[in-house]
Amino acid sequence: MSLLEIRGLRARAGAKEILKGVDLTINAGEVHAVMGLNGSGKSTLANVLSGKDDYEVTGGEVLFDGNDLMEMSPEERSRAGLFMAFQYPVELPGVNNTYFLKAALNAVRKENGQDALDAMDFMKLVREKLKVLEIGEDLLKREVNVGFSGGEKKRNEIFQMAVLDPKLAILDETDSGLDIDALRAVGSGVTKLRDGKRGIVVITHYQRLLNYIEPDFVHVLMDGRIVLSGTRDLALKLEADGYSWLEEQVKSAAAV
Amino acid sequence: MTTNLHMADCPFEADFASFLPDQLGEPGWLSQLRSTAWNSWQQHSYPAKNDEEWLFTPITVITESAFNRSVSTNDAVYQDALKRLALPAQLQPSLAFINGVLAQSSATPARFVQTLKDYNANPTITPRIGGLIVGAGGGFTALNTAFVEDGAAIVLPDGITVSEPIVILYANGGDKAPIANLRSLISVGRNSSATVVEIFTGAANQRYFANAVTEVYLNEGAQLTHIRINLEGDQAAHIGNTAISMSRDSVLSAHNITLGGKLSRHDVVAKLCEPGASCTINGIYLGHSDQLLDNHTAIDHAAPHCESHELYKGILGDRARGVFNGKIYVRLDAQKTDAKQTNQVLLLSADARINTKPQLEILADDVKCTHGATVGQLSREALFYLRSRGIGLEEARAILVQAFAGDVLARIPAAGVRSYLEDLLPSVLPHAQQDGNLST
Repeated sequence: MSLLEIRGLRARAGAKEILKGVDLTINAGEVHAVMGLNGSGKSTLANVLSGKDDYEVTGGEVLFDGNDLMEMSPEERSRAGLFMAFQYPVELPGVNNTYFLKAALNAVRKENGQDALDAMDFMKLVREKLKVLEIGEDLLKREVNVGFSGGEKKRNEIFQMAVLDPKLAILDETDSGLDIDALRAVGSGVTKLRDGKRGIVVITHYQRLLNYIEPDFVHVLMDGRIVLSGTRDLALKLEADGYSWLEEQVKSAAAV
Repeated sequence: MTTNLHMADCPFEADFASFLPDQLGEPGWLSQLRSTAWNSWQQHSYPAKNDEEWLFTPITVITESAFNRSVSTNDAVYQDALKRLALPAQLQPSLAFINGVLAQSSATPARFVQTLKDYNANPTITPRIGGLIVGAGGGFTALNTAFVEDGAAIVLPDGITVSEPIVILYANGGDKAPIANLRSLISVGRNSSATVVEIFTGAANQRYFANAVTEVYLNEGAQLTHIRINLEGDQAAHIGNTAISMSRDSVLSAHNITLGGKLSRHDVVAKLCEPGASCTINGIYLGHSDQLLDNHTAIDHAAPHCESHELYKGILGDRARGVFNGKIYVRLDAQKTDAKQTNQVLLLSADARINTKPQLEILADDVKCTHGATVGQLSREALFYLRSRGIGLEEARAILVQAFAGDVLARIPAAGVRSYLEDLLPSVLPHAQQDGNLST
């Protein structure tokens, strides 16, 4: 059974159809990149998978670990092992980062029939993850994402991912707005969480993050459909030649 | 005669007639104060329906049927309150009152804390009660002053630092719908500093009326942290009036926590009388079911180079209603005033309501005054973010509500009181019923 199976997924925001039949299969341990221009439907795909209610799913299905993902609430998706690293992580004034993480982890553990971690065990786990990701402990004392730089927000997302240890992580435009140092830090963090079992989907406009997170497969999303799939080389070709050759190819195929 | 008719209608008329003979031994100044207040009460009585200051705060809870002047001094009222509050060792009350009468079993002696009765008996005392509030304009303070019998007198001489919080407990209620006239006098001497906590509480399902007045004097360079916790019972009416007078370079950090009462109203009037005085007056009010919680503040900048900071936050669920009115006066010669006022309200249900009104009157021309009011619901984005990390909708709401309220509590400098309130918070937060309504 595949970890994630998207079949003919259609979705719209308001009257506008954005996803027009997306097919994508991801197996455990695989790293996939979904690339595409602005407006191709990348963020819609991420949002629909995470359970954001701004979109209406009008067709197709999504199976996560064999279960109907679209029937699950956002928290159920998370507890089942789906993690979304958001393009724009939300600031939570007054909510302490440690408290937030502990509430999240214990919600996930409860779902899996595990006892809640006590403060000591939790701090031990958290410190371990911080060390692996080379993030300073001061992060724990701060309010969630409040006053964080763009890079700090994205690293906090990766840190949350490390603590929650999901089966599948989707990184939505994690590279956007990052300078080269932040990009390297985030990229190496994700690579450390690549353990041969976890599925990872990197959604991005640019190839550059893929220098740090080498994908097994690359897909191109165009006008709400996956129009081409390939390997790492496809990303490099898109980086070198742009998307226009592919757009023409798709157009002429449609004309035939 | 019309006057006679009016006077015959005056609430507590008979009570006053029977109360007065018992006060025969009291000092002359106090009898005089009492009679001034009583005359004022007779003339004005309860605020009228069209009274500007009471426009959004109907007092039918108080006027619909009579209250009886303190009858119950049953120690159980006090013992129940202690049980309910579960105060930590360092917050045990120095004085406790049952419907305004000293609870005999209460005293944990503390320096500089006396009963008002003992304090008033001393002919040479200063300050005296009534210096800031008599209630000459009628209303609840007049009623209080007319009937004031006992209370707390916390009077620090010059140059004294009391580091442990001084806690005064007012336990109210019992059967027979009592009215309790509660009175505190706090005076902090030159360069002295103290933390005073007033707790007002009563049991659920008991109809009673707590009518409280607190007068606060801060002498030159004095520092006071004043925390006022309203944990009255759910059928109670609580009317509180706090008047504050601040001398040169004095610092006040006041925190008004309103959780209880079917009707709770608190008026704070702070006068910054001399240069260099600085006050922080914060508040949080949490309303649920049919509660009506009203906070009126008035800060009078009467001297130059003074600061005032005000942050009030409200959280209202169910059909609760809130009222906030924040007045700031900056007098003509109060140049270089720095005044800031903020009221933020979180409405957790479609039926909750708030009336919020900043009222600034600025006569000086070289001042910094800002005010802002925001009214909102829980952020959909924030809720979704929490849920996307596995946290259920209910818990996500609770986390955000608590974060909103926690911001005010975090500003309380007395660590023991702060952590007591932080522990109390989750159990008293209104339940969220309305937000972005994300799909489930």
